[in-house]
Amino acid sequence: MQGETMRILGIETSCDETSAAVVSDGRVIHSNIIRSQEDLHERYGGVVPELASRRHVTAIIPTIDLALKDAGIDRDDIDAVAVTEGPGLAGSLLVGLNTAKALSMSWDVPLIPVNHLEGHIYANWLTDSSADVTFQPPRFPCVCLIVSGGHTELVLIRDHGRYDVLGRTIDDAAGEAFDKGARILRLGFPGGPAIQRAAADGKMGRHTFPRAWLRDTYDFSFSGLKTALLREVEKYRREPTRPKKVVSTEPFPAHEPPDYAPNMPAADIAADFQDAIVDVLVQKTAKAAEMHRASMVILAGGVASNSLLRRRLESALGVPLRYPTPQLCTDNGAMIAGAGYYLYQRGITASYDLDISPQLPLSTETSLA
Amino acid sequence: METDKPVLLAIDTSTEMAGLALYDGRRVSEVIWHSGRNQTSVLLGQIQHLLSMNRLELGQVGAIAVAIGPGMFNGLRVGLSTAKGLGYGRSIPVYGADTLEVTAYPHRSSHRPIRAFVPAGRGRVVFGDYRYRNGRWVRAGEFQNRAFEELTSGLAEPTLLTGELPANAEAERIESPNAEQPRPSLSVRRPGCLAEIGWNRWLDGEPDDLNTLEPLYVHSARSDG
Ligand SMILES: [Zn+2]
Repeated sequence: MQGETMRILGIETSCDETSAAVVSDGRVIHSNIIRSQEDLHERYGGVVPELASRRHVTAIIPTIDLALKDAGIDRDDIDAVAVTEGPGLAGSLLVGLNTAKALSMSWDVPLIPVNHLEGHIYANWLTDSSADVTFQPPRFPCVCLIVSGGHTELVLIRDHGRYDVLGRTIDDAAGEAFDKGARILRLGFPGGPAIQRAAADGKMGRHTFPRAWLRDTYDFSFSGLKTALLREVEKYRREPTRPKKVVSTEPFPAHEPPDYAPNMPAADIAADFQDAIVDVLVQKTAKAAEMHRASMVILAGGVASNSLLRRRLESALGVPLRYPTPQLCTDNGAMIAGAGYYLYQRGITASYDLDISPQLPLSTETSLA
Repeated sequence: METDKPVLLAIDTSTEMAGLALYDGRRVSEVIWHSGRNQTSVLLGQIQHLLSMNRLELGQVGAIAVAIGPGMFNGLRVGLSTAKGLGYGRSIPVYGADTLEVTAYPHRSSHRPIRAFVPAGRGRVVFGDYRYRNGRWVRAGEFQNRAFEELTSGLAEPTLLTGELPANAEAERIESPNAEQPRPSLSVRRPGCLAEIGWNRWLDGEPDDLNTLEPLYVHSARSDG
């Protein structure tokens, strides 16, 4: 396939987005269909794994079909199928992986197993336009901060496929902290955008939240923040005038947060809460970039869309910062197809006995085929 | 099974016993194995194996039948995703069939009431009651998701109790005055039966819509979150 365009169908179902995309040569996006399940999980304030898995089963084929149609590419012109093998929710991963394997067998094309985190990283190598001649891929070595609802990892990337995980969260992911915070403050789901919107109207500096610095490591901890937030809003808690019915016959009952007095300054609290998360992310990332002489810093994952995080990082760094478009920050098939291309270039494909790996860590492949 | 006609591939991963069958309208070829929760890594290899043993190629598969439960949720997702991927990838029709109907299918000639069951995980079973009425088999009442110990509850007349025992079941036989249980070899859920059910639907025309086909989820009546 030397010198020829390689078109990869990428499939991603690790959490609550069903997505499929067609990307050529790890760079140009022909289509990227993302079916979000936000409507489904909103009332729970977080992703319910069983419900997510169920939605993938019905969404997977229409999503793939639309990705092929949108790309205007015939299925005979697909050169490989790349799919997320992990990390993620087992029931969700199963749907994408088994569908991908069946397609690989049906079309007799290679199957490429992709680590979801590696997918997020390679979103920075993608562009919407083949005509974009100014597009330059990121330069090595670079430091990548992967921040999403499921992950918070600081990674040094020395070359394609060469990763050193410098640090990660020891409890909640940054996006999860946003989700939990937004739920406590009754701001909606997903929490990141909800907190950011509320914080825009708030005044910072009126509420203090702790920072877990975990000195001398690049690790993060966000679970203490949730406790601190609960303590803060407790002052404004209001008991419901009449007791709520707690009996539910639903298979997946939602647990409702308490009511608050109308004078609770939710926007102010959100502003300080956001500041506490961003502060730690920025300081650790800037330090890692400096220590490892990174030529640039790249962001990945849903929280990479947070504008306070971008602004603060830009002023804290002595090297360029880049991040994907908002659509490419969320979980999507294009990033899987993109990472799949570089894996394939290194000779990595899977056989049909490939299984899901819900706990798959990000690491340099040691056993090259 | 050398044939010029297209064959039907049946896929059943409803429980820890997985099964595949090929059917050309006359002859059934089957493979049934205890896969545990390992269906994802084994299923495609077994499909290739069954095809090659019968000197067939994937291109000769003209339709797919898939068991849609009740059963183990993750197992069902494996079978349905594989069936949908093959159906879409090869542009061939997919027919979903209820796993308890497949379980009861080989015992229909007895004309006695049948209670068919599948393990549903965590020591639970899902069962359905089938009766022969006015020359045809009908399901009586809704599917029940119960603790395994309640499998024989409400049996008012001698009933054939057939299905796969849950992994945690202590005894191989179920002791109850009205329960008659076939030997293990006759209790095993046969992918060949799924293939026959799928074949009849293939002859009738209307395949299932891949955009809506999903497992049958049978929850217990009591909410346990
Ligand atoms: Zn992600």
